Amino acid sequence: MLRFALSRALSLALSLVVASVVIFAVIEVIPGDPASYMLGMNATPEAVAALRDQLGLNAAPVARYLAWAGGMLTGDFGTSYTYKVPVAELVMQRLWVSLPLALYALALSTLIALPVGLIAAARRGSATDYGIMGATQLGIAVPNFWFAMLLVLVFAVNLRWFSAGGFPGWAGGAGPAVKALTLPALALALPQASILARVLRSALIETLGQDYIRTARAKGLTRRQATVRHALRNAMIPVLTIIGLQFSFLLAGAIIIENVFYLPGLGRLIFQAITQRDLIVVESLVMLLVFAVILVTFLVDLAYAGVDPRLRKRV
Amino acid sequence: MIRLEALSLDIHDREILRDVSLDIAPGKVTGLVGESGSGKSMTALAIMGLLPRGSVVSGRALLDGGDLLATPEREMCRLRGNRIGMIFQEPMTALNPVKTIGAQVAETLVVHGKARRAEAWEVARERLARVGLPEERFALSRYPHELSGGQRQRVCIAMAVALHPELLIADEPTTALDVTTQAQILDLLNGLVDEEKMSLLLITHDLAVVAGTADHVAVMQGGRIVEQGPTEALFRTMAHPYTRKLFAASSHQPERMAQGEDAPLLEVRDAVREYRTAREGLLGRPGRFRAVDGVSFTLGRGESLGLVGESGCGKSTLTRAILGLDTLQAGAIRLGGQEIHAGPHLDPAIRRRMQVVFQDPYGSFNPRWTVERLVAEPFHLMDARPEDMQGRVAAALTDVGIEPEAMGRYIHEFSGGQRQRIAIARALITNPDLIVLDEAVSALDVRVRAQILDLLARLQAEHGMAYLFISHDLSVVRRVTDRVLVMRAGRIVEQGETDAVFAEPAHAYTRALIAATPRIPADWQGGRDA
Repeated sequence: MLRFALSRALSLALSLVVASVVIFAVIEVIPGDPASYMLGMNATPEAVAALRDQLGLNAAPVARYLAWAGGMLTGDFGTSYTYKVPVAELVMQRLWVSLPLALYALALSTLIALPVGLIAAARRGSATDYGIMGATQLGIAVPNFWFAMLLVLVFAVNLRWFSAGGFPGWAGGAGPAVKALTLPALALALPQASILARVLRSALIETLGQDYIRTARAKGLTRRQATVRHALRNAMIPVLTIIGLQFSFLLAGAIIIENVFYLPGLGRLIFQAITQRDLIVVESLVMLLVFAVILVTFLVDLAYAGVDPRLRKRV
Repeated sequence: MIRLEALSLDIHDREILRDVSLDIAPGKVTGLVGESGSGKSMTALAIMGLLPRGSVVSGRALLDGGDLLATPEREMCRLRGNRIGMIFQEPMTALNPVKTIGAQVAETLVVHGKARRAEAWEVARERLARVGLPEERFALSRYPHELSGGQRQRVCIAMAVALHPELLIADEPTTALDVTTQAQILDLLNGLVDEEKMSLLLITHDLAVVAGTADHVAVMQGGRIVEQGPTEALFRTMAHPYTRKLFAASSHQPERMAQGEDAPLLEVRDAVREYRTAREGLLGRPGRFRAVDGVSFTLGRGESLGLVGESGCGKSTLTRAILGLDTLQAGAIRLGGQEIHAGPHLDPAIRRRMQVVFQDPYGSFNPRWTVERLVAEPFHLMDARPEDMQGRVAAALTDVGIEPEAMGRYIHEFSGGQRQRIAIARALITNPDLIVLDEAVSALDVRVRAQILDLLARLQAEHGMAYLFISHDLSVVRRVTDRVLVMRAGRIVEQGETDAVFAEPAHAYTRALIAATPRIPADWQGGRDA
């Protein structure tokens, strides 16, 4: 298991190096001057030269890459051109919104999907199953911003249980912050839960047809015991895969929901940085997201091995 | 112990069982014999109350006067694993891959509330030791994938007998195992019956297995018991024609003549194939495993050569190398004087001179292709597709006894035996010099197997190709080959004329294999010609 973890960690590190080279190359080395791009069409040559100087674009690409990568390793992501503050600071503020939101949504989606998928699989072919399949189909089809607006109308405007948007920050305690994230997390979780429940259902149905389930029943386990004790863990591999993919998406893909609820999250930051042509922020954010995706993949790999002992020996 | 009275079963309006009446006597072994689809397993599942959805049962299955068929599910859960245990055919998939063997055995006790966790593990330890898996060598923390098929079947038995049930149902418990392992498992089951005064319902397709084990035998055909009685008396009389047919098929000798010429067709010289195994420890060096260790033999044109050995002996690796699917590290393989190089360099001209038929008639076809396309596939080894392709497919199908009109159909529409015929047609289509039959009849019922063996003998007489007949089933190899190779741990330990090897095996391993093969006592076979 330790060797498995180490080998995965090594591949994680390698992936990061490769990804950083690619990102750096795409944004800075490939023809097209970042400085003139950032300043727009009407910039004077002097302004462009000044910005090139400020960005350090006159140094050799290898030296610039090393400086950039080395800076990131020490937490120095450079300074935002538009906001005039260190990128690290900017990202950290937003991360404190997006990361809890993504985790919250993921937890909700898993909590909803697990029982729903289990029930649908256990009652396969029944009216309950058809009902669940229909509902999840709808959950996938409904755009989440529409569902978000519906939530706002019902719970914020009519019932006044939650505020319609905004984020109070974590300084005032966890309570208000979590409350502010509840509706957006729910809006994000619904389609994810629908997908997850369907994946779990089909994985469970396949697992329930396996010989070892019959063995378990022959030992005297009830259908439910056999499902929970034997089928569920074996059905987890595809479910973990989907959870991993969903987390990566939730971290940065929540931009529409962030807009609906006026949340200062990473998605909006990326959007703003791109519209303002702030390549320094874009570069750092892309790298950060790549890091998040690779890290999640690593964790999912470890979880696979935790679930299935047969995977621990394979490297 | 258990009495079945006029048990009938329909699944989705299909008749599965009709009027099955059977007494399973306490402390005895009851054998239930029949071909696939005869209803053996469904009889067992009816007793267990584990029939598939859509089942409609009638009749009674009495245990101590109570009818199991009328017992509510909650009660049945208490009976299963407690008073009636069951083991199944396929030990490779019968255990949960993500739970340790100790946990799986202990679970039987825990779900029945017979023991707390710690005690349950103690019992699991003791039961696993009883079935031949002592903790010193097989830690309870092992996972199923760390055990062989025979060892896994032992775990299944430990699980089924953990609570000392009065009846153990064993559904083809040794069919997936090697002969020597089969003998050990049958010994173990017999020992448990004696020691624990347990009843055993032994379900099998193999008459020889019941002959050596059962006290009472019932023969099933088409959902009915056609004949039953004390084992010896049943074998001596064989009152029902179906029993006689089954018996005749199981010892069927295809008519064939030795055809081998001296001209060598396939020459294997000092073949070596090694695999890397997992590293030991964090920084350990990867181990090496020699699957094929210096194998040499020659196969003459038109000859039938048997290759026998148990799982893991290197048969499959050797086969892959011969077919050019796997490279050798040392040695050489030549077909008709041309060396076989595995991989992209393999000359299609060589490749089309040898074809293969695999064991599994269900897994070795693309389900989305028509029979015509399946059979014509080897033509891609030709430089150009022959113009009369369809005619040649039709001829090949006719040759194996399938009507050419079947060309437009898909493989799921055929039975196991028909599929194996189609696989043979696919192998014939390029007029090969050599057909490798890799356990090609092992998955078939005895009567179908007899037909396929006849077919193979006829095709060889007509076309004169050589067979490399790979099997773990000695009795079949004995009947259809001219010479035989006995393989063990990557080496050929004995080779020679088939009759001579079987009559006077020189190597201890060959002797062990022959001794482990179950057989019907010769003096029981009086009813054979009746």
